[in-house]
Amino acid sequence: MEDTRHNFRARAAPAALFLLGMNGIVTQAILLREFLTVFHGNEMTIGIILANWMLLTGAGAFAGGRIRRANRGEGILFLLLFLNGFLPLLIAFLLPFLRSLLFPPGVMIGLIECFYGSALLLLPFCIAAGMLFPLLVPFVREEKGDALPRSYAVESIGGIAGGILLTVALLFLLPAFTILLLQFLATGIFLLLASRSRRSAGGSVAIALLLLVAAGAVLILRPDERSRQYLHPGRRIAAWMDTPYGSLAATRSGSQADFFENNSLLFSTGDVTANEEAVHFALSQRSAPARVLLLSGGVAGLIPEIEKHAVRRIDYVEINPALIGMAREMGIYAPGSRMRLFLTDGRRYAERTGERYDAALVNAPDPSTAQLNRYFSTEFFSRLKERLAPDGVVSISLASSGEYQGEDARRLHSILFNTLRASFGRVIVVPGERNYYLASDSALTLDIARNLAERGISTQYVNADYLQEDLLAARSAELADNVDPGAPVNRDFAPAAYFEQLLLWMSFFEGSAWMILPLILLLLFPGVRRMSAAGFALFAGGFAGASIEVMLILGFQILCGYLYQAVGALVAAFMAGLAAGVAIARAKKFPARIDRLDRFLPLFGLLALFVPFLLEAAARIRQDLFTSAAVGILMLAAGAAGGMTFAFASRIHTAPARTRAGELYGADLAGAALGAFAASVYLIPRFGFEAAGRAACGICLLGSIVVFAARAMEARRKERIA
Amino acid sequence: MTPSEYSRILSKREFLRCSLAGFAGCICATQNWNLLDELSRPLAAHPSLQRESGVREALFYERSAEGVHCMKCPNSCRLKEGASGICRNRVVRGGRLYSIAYGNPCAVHIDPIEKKPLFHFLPSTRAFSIAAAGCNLRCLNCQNWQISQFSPAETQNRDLPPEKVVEECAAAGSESIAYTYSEPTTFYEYALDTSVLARGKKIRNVLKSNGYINEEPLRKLAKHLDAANIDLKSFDDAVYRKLSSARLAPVLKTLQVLREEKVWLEITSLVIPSWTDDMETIARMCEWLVANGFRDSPLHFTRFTPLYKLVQLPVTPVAALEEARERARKAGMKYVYIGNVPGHAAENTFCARCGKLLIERKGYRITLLNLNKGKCSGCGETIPGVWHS
Repeated sequence: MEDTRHNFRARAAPAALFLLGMNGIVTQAILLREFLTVFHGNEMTIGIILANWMLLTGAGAFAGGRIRRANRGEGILFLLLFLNGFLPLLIAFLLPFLRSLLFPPGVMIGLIECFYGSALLLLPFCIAAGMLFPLLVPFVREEKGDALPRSYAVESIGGIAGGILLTVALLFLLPAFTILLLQFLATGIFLLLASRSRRSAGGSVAIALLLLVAAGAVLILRPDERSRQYLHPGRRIAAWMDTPYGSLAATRSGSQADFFENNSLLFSTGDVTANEEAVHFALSQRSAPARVLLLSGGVAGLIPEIEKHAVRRIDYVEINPALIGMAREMGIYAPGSRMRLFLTDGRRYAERTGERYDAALVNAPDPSTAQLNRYFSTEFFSRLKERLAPDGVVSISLASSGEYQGEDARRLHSILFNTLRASFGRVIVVPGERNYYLASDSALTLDIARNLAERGISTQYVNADYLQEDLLAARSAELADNVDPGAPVNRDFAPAAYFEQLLLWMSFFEGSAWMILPLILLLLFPGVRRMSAAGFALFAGGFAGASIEVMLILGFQILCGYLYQAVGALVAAFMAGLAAGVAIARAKKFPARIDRLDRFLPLFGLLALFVPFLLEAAARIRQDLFTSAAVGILMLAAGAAGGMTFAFASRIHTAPARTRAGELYGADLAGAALGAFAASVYLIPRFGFEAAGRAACGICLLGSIVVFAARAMEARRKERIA
Repeated sequence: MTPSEYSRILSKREFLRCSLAGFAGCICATQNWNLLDELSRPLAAHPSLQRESGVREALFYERSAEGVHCMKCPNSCRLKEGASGICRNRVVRGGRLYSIAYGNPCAVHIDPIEKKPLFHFLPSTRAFSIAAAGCNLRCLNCQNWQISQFSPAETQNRDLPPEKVVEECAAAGSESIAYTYSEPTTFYEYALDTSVLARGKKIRNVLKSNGYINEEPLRKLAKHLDAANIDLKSFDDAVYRKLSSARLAPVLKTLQVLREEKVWLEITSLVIPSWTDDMETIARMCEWLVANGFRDSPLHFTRFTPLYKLVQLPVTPVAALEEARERARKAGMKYVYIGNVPGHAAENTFCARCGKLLIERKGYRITLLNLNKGKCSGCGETIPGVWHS
């Protein structure tokens, strides 16, 4: 037994930690996409799933640190590692299967079901992953008596490797199940190698057999296709593809093709009403719109509608090349001779192009995420205006509220109206299947049908037969009256629109948000009950680190566009920072003045305060290089601060290695979970980046006070004894 | 002191105190502390009666020792003091049931009558359309969920008592008042009183409803109705339950009662992919309609667009609507239309006997009218409906 333990400790434990970090990142990226395919993809569901993920992993770590019989052998480690590789495959299959079993077709799943459903499905995987860390730490060779921070660093390096692998290759090349199968095979091979020194060959044979069966099952049973079919019951899936931007699927029904991204309908071909409204409301405003910028939607059939206006050029921007490829393969992509295609982020293109346009059709969905909110902000509109001819027109839309706008819809409508009004002299709302907001510095009219008729433009829906002018004018006037002049302007760094969209979405569902509290309290209670000052400090560090990470990623997207690889690189930079932070804290020459948690945490807090200001500065400078460098450096710094907090906290904790690892790792993850959730779902959208920075700073100061108080009380206790 | 010594010396109470104080400070730093309150704002139920205007004692209920039994619709709510019905606009106070949707519509518009849709009822006229908040169903695809799934206490309402509705309708030159958008049978007392007044002023009354109402209140209201369009959401009770939290049988009964009461009736069936697009069920529905004397009632198959909670479905393929129409005609339905597909030929009315194009519609506009006093100008066949003389 000693021999095998020695072997494991010397070679396998760091490798297992590396694998743990790698599997964690790969699984999170893949499963998050799968979850968003099943649940509705907005900032709230993303926040819920990630918070569940980290809280459950933290709970697992806490439990792992307290298993009494864990030292008896490596069996439990092998089992947990096996589960770490295998469970993601199972979850990816169960998700759509259970969705089709438990929910009627096509129904958006609510907040409470999303919270408890994701928690239940993630529970075994996250608990196993969380337990592994404290269980592996005692096997890591101790250098300078401190294996814990080193383990943390190795796990982070595994995370970097996983992130890089995903970002540069896997997500572009392979579907979800294949990636998860490869991960399982890698884990299995590791287990086979690690178990060579074990006396029983039975285990090795069993692992090898399981690997073969799993690989065979994935290759023969094609779970990718089956899981898609569960999501589109009764419809023929013509094509599907997992892309870095989301999971695409196209179904066919006769001549109609329907495109879904993450299971939400992108568009149906032949939707005359949607296509004509999106184009003619805006283009009818000018007698001869020659140059048109189209941000998304060209595949849906907008190009032929635009070409009815005898334009000279259409510049069509689409972020996801796979969408174009899929449409082309299905024979429904009609580029047109006057069209130029740009495969990039729409906002990035609009801000950087040197072209001038007579009309810009922003065909973005409602601002349900921070990423989409960028198309509804005053900064975007003011830059877009610079790209427009003096009488240029912008068109953007929100879902219609039917015959009545509720309070949340009215606020969202007011925010968009006021935001456009901040940049343009005139704004009108044209009610339709969606409500279209037209903005310009020149005249705008509701005589849409008449203008089209005068120019001889033939349409099936946008014409006098359907748009009766007096009724259209009355509805438009009612919408204009509904605008609350006091509603805020939507800004990049104070994104009021996506918060309001979130509230509107939540109002779909009955039941209170308080219903999510029991599980959160249940998960936090054991940790809080036994939390030490060091644990709380790490909780604060986790909170601040995650808040900064969210701010920087969102900030980068706002300033540079949604560039998938760049975001992956930023996450990798954060993890590299974590590993570097551990190394820095362990260096002999580290300045003694801040070599203590209570002194270091305020610095961490200052970093959080500094981030929003840097982003504002970058927004003013508007240089990609500067922004990328600044955000990258800050990511590294935030990661390093997190790593250093971990290293300092592990120094002042007296418990045995495994218990200590469990508590600290758990506290770090719990803080990160709450920090990411609070920043992305509430603080940033409700109050802006600065408030998120202040909250993170406040938590750090609190951590510092707790540690300082603990020191002072211990000193007093010693004095009394003396 | 060595660094490791202060890791566990803070007592739990001290720790909690420090943490709570600091946490409160942090939240204050964000200038607002009611995070969960704010997040739960739209989710909270609002059953209370918050305003006095718009209140009228309800019809069709009985009092018991336990509270009140509402008998207006098949939900048959048994309510205790202070509770509100499933419809959200009938509330118990002082042992009596009150409608809080009386004279306080949140939506008031003028629509073409074709929008309801009513194709055989005074074509090209306009309907003064009103709705108060509330509905007795929970349809997953509701296009007006911001009215139907809220109580009048939560919406911004107009003060528009029945006499004012009639007055405004007349001033707007509309020939009818439509009780529509949300669910008019839930603002029953308001609709009833308004329709009585409207009749007196020679204004027609039109009901656009889910048909989920008991026989007695329906017969009372129907005496004052001129036309109704009833949603027949499916012919499968299981689908009805899942899609709308309702049952099929009461809706079928409503159709029969309206026919007996001689209210001009048109029927709408929304074809939702994966839900109500099963052609065998559609065929059974049409056979039932024919067998029960509705072959002359126009039947509208309308196209679904993803809305509200049903956003993970495609729009209905036109081919599915066309097939449904074919099934209906094969079953013997005489006037079958396709809705929400601009420019489709099945928006037009053809003579059921000679096939002549009688009414050509483009959207809500009539571009051709080949009717002579309600008869086909080709073969003289009487076309069922309510036409201008």
